[in-house]
Amino acid sequence: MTDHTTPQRLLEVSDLRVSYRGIAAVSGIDFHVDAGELVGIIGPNGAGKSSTMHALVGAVRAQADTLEFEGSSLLGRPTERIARSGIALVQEGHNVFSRLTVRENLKLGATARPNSDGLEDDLQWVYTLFPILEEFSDRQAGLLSGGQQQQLAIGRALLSAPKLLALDEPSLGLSPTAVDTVFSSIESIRERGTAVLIVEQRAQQTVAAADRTYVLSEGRITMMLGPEDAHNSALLMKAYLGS
Amino acid sequence: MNLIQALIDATSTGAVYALAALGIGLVFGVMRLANFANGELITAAGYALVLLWPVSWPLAIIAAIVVSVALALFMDVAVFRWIRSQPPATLLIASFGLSILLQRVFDGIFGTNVISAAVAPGLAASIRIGDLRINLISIVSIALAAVLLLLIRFFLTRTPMGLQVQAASEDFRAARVLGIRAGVVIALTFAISGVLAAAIAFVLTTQSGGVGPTFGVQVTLFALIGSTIGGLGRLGGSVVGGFVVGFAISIFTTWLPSWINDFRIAFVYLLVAVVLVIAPNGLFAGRAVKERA
Repeated sequence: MTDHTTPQRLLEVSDLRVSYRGIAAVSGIDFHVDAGELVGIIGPNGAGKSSTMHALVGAVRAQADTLEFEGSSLLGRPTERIARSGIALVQEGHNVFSRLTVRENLKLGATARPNSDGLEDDLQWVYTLFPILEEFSDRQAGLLSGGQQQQLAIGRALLSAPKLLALDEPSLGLSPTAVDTVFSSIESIRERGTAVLIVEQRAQQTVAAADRTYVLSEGRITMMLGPEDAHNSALLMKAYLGS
Repeated sequence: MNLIQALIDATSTGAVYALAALGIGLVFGVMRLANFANGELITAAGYALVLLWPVSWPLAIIAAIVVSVALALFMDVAVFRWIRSQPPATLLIASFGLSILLQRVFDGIFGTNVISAAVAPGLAASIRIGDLRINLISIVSIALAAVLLLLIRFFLTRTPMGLQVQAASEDFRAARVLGIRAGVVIALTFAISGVLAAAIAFVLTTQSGGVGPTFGVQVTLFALIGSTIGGLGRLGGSVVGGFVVGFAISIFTTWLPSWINDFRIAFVYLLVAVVLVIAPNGLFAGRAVKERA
């Protein structure tokens, strides 16, 4: 039975630490994502955003008091098993397999699915979200534009039917139109019930879209913002530059 | 010697080297390991063929495949799996060590001398078409290579597992993030390199009839060179590179005048040096090979 009064905790992180050769990139952060939520993490370059995302999927070694997904620990679990337990990470820099076609990339997205039930529906949904992927399905992914590759990377991640979609700077290097496409797709993804964790440098857009946005600075969470803060430029400025 | 005859022989040598380069290229693609110990897979399969062919030829063929696939998987489990995230240079040196170790093991078990047996003696015959004499083994090795290349191409492009191997070759970490099982993909490429090694051993034992502890070294060295000039990490490039090197060796052997024929290998290296000066990343590399993350 699902308890409808308290939201279901999907991801629970406390005192997460990541360091590279003794230099701390993330120094003890706490955050959580509940089922169906859209949660943002913003911060300047080098704040530890990507390290946090990589720690989540076991791509870097991390320490934590708690790093739990649906109540079980992710610490020490290999990357591919984390993917198969329902976390889909879209890595920074529109990461697609450039020599494979769009369709082959999408097919690979389904690798982590528990089973193929509903795969066809999900594929049609991805095509509705990003019509360009259907149009260019036989094209080599490396020939797509940056914005189209980002759509492919997100679409591919969605085909694993994730419970949590983790997006690492999806707007990086994209044109303003492409950024809008990505952000509006995130709204649709969330409406379909998938929780989203998004790491971004675009503060205002992220804060406006997310239920909750954590501000990360020099490896620590310094502030938490709600959607109402999106137009408080003074506060956003402070979040970025410190007091 | 007749031109067409020489070209057919060269094509058959090229085909064998292409297979060896493909085996090396597949493993390099997912592991960034240029596996020098691939030669010992060929040697192990060669021993199985010469020792068992007199007993029963189907048994010899099956044993050759089983032995080299098992040895390939063992290499992965015992050595390379543990150093998977090390830089390519470390992996290469480890494969040298493993190669030398296995040569000593073969030496200990089978002795330093070459063990001989007539493997597939029927293929030593040649057929005549007009003035042309063509060795049966040349035709068989070309056909065998063609079939294996097509099968592997089909596997890589038409099956889900093959697609995963291709994805892992392009970006290993991204593949794992998608849930692709790293261990399975790597083991699979090792197993395929084992199958290819068995096919190479079949052709080489049929031609030479004998196997010693360093039986697979030369073909592997040239296949590595072929992979490099074709562009390591590009499978098509590896195959073509391997073919070119094998073809060149055969042509040099046939046509270099006798007073410099002993230096034919030097000419192959000269060819390689020229290619690498012109195209340092290999003939078919679209870009520099990505380091494994």
